[in-house]
Amino acid sequence: MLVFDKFNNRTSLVVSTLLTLLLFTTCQESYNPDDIDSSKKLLVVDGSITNNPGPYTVSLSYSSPFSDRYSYNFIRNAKVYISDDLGNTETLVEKGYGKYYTSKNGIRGTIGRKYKLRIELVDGSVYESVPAILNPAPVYDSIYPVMAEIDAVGTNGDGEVSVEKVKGVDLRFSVSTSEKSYYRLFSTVTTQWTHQKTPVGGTPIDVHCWVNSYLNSAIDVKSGVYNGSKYVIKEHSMGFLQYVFDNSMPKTDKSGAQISPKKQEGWDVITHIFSISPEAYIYYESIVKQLDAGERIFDPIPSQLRGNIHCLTDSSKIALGLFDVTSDSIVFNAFFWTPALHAVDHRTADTIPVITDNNCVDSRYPPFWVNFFFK
Amino acid sequence: MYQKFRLLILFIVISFYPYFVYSQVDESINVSANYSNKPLTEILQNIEKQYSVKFYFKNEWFEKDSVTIHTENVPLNQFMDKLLSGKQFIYKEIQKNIIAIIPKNDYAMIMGQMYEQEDVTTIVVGKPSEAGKYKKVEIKGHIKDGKTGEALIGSNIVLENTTQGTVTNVDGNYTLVLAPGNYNLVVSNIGYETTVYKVKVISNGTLDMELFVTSHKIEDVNIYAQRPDKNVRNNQMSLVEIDSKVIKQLPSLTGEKDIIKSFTMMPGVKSVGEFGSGINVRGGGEDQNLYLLENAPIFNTSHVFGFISVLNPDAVSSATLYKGHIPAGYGERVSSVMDIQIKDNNCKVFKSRGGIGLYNSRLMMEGPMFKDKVTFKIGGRTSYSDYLLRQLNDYYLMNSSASFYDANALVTYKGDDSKLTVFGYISNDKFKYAKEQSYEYGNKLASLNWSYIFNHDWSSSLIAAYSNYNVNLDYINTIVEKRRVQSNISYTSGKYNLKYVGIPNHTFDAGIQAISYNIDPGEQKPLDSISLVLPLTIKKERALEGSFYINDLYEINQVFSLNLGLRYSAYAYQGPQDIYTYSSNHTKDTIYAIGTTSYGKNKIVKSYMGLEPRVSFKIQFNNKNSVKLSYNRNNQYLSLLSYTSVPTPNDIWKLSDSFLQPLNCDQFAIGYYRNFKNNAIETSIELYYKKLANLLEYKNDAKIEMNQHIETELINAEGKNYGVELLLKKNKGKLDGWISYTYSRSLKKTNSKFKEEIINNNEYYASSYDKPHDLTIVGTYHVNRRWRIGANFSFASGRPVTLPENQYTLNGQQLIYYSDRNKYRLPPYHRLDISISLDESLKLKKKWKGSWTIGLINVYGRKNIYSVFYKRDTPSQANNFHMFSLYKLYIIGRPLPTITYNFIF
Repeated sequence: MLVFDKFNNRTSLVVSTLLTLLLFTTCQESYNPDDIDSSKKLLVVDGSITNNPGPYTVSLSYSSPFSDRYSYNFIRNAKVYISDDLGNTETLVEKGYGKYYTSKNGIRGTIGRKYKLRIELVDGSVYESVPAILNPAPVYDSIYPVMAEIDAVGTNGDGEVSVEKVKGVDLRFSVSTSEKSYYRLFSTVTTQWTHQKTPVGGTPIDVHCWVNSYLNSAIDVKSGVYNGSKYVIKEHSMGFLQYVFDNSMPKTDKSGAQISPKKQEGWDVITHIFSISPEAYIYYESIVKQLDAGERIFDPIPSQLRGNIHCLTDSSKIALGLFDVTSDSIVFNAFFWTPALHAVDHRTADTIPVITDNNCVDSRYPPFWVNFFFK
Repeated sequence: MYQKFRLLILFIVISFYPYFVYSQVDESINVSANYSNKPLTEILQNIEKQYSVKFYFKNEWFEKDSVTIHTENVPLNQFMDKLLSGKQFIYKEIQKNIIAIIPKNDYAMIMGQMYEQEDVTTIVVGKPSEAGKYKKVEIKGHIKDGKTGEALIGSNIVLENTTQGTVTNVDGNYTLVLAPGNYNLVVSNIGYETTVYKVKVISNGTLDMELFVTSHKIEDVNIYAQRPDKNVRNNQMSLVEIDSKVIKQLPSLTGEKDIIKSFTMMPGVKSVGEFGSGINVRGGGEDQNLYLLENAPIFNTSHVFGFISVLNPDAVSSATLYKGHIPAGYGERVSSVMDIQIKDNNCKVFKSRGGIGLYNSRLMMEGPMFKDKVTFKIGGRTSYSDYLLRQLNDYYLMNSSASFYDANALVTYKGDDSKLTVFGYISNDKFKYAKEQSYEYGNKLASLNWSYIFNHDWSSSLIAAYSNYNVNLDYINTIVEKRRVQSNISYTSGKYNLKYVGIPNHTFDAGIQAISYNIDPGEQKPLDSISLVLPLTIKKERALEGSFYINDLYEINQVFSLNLGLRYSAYAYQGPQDIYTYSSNHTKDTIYAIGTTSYGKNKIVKSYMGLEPRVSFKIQFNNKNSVKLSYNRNNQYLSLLSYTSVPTPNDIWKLSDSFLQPLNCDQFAIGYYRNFKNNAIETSIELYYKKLANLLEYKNDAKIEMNQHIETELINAEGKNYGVELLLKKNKGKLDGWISYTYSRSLKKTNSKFKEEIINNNEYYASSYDKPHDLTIVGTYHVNRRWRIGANFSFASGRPVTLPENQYTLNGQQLIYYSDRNKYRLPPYHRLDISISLDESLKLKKKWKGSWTIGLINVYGRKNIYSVFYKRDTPSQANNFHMFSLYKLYIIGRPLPTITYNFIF
């Protein structure tokens, strides 16, 4: 099986260069200093309010030691409030696992209003976010596909490295605005394909399967570059939809039915375009830098993330995370890949049902099936 | 004419009288000769070329004299007996390897005169008519190798039985100020016979002298020969000079000498990581050092990310590092100046030398071009790691490349009162790791130096220098962002120095310098048609720096001396530039820009200027101990922006501008120097304190590359460095070496009111160069003249690092909370290296001479940490989260053998 393996540039280069020149005396191994102070429990806030109807969610947790196995230390019994600059305040309700919700008919994000978050923990400490304005709903010019072929470096079952050309669709985003805008893009993808199943002694039937995933698991933020008249984001790559060719011979399942190679493939893509504040943009960029900085051996300048939450009762207390005040435009796109033509068809839609499960159905298209958008 | 020659012989004999009395013909020289009916003069000339021996005779004596002689490996005296057999001449070795051939009839007369007319043995300097006219007079002259004509750098000229004396400079010239009178000048240099010249000094005059190599070669190169008590008597403090003898004895990774890295074994000089690029002097950053190679600055001193310095050791003559009290003639950097000079060309014979190592080889050739006036030297090194990579059975490595080369050339013209030197240098490094990222970077240097002596009192030098550093970085491991990022710095300088020694006990230096800086901070280009990267060019930077200086070394008496210097520098950052104006209520960030000011070409955007005083004072109690104090201020208008603690080739040079103010440093130092056992053991202790203003610091997650507004990533900080440096050095005996220990701190702090610019609560924290304890022990045991065993041990505190302390989840991402900056420290560094060397044959007649060095680096396999980084594993289906782990990278985690073969022919 070919596993796409994206190397960290700097690490790989330097490590291998050193390796080579020192005839493999260079090496890396686990490092566990015993003097790291991981005892701090820092408040982590993850919440937002948008122009879309609520309920809005705020998650509260504590940080955990760096080397611990992951554990989500959620915070219970906190008092959480969202308020606007008109004096409206709503107290959020805890519904378990450190998640606090507004009510369905409670506070509603309105463009042009300022909002802030207040948190009161049971230990008496009080935190607040810096008030932020809810920007107008973002606009965009286009989201469109570009056929692309890339080198995927991976390992086979024996651990041998190989390189294979992979075809697919690179999704691009373009926009130009008169005012400088800051965007965060987030897309979910439902990948769908069809193959034929021929039961023993029966006639072939089409089987339709789908899998949900993120288009780009990384945080995707972008701001316009001034071109003399407008702020432009041109051909920003949102992510790659890889078409996995199925050249296999027909297989047999447990029941003895014969499964054909894949016949066709398509993707439903739901994209949230958030218009974020400059401060939030800087914050998200910092996250990107931090995620990118891992495994770099030259000790890069650390990416220390500080959000917009501050402790009112003790200024030395550090809080992490962001209460994001943002407007959101949702865009629906569907792409259909025809293997024989090596081409992709593209449609937009007013809406696409949100699919949460991964499954297959026989003989009939599911209601969200990508084919419907092309009819 | 004959009388004149007799006087010459007489002079030679008498000059070397102390040796004449005791010396015999050197028995270590065995001569093989095979001549049939050859002119005797030709035979003698050939013998001079083949062996380290020089003959004095008059050509006309042997004009018609042909000789047939066949000898095989016979001692020199037997050869001479045979050669002059039946002739009316005798020979006498008047100094080791200097043989005078004298007519038998004159021998008794000459020898008689020697005893009867002792005043004839004295060389008179000055005009007898000026006797009694001056209280102080100056003797100038040149000391050279009597056989090759090569200027002898660092030769000592001392008044016998006094502490007074001087040392020849890089041109082999010296100046000595004395009261008129009679003196014995003791002239010495490592590897040469010490010679005593009797002189009678009347008035200003010139005295050129020659030294001759000892009969066996002590070592192949004398990179720097020091007076044995130079540390005590030299007015300059905080000085490090590395002797080739020491460098040669050090084991090195690639088996060849590494001059820059050798300095890290001396007190106060460190490097960030094992085999890291560059050096850190007294807690300063790598960019705070000015490396001058034949007066042209080098902007990247390392090949292969810091494994090997860019200097070909065969070419280098002297390397001097000023850690404190930087002479007023130098500026541009605040921490140190390393002045590296190329060896004076051999003006008598063609000579080649080189070495073959595991990863690279080198070759250097030198010789005369037009008689003795014009000489050349050319050399180069190249690696063959590309070939090695292709032999490996690894997909990534066999498709990778890593190579470097460097080449240098020096042409020298020597006139009677002037010397012109033209120097050129080029280096190049290439790295590519499979289909990932590739680097290419290189230096280009050129300089021209015209030295001119007007008269006894005035001399000058005119220097033009050019340096260029260029780096290309290709990002190819990306689908749609394949791009090349280029940056470049070029430097052009003109400098004129004037020296005046017309006033007794004063040596005045003055000069003026103009520098032009041109920097291309970055140019980005897409690498293919799919790439979405837009071409982008960061606006070029230009600046001019002008300076002048004056310095007076006043030797008040034999106890006190004072060195007063003043340098004035002025700097102008020039357009075209568009400079943002930022809101004063926020940190500098483009989102807080409130306006732009545009400056046209050559318009001054921002200017700075400042005085840089340099003062030092020496109290020399006697020739064994002295105390020195110094203060100096330096300004620096050029900084290196680095992503990382360990320097990388693609770090970016940045000029001071409206936001980035010039770095300035005040340094105070005091030292006590004491030698024992006739300078066989030297000791010193130096204390220093440095205060730095406008120190560069970075915001968290600073973005350096292709940043059009780099000021938004920088923070203005202040710093203080202090420490004590101890040195115990044994110079003589079968076992020599040194122990150095340094305790030092390098701290910095921010002073901002904006949270983005506050590092560690605006309190002092350790800089990346803060290594409090540093111990080095170097020893060499000389088994005999050819075999020696060397070992060196280094111990240093680990460098500060910023480590992740906590993890948390946000927006579906697992993120890290880092500690305060540089809160932690890596484990201590320590390493033992050993080597055994077989030097080249002592037989001087051998044309091809080879030497071997076998070394073992990191004897006990210490895994010294180069850097620490974290990894996130891939989430599994079961838990869907990452596990963080810290990793350490070490460069040589086990004993590493090296072997090198060096040769001369």
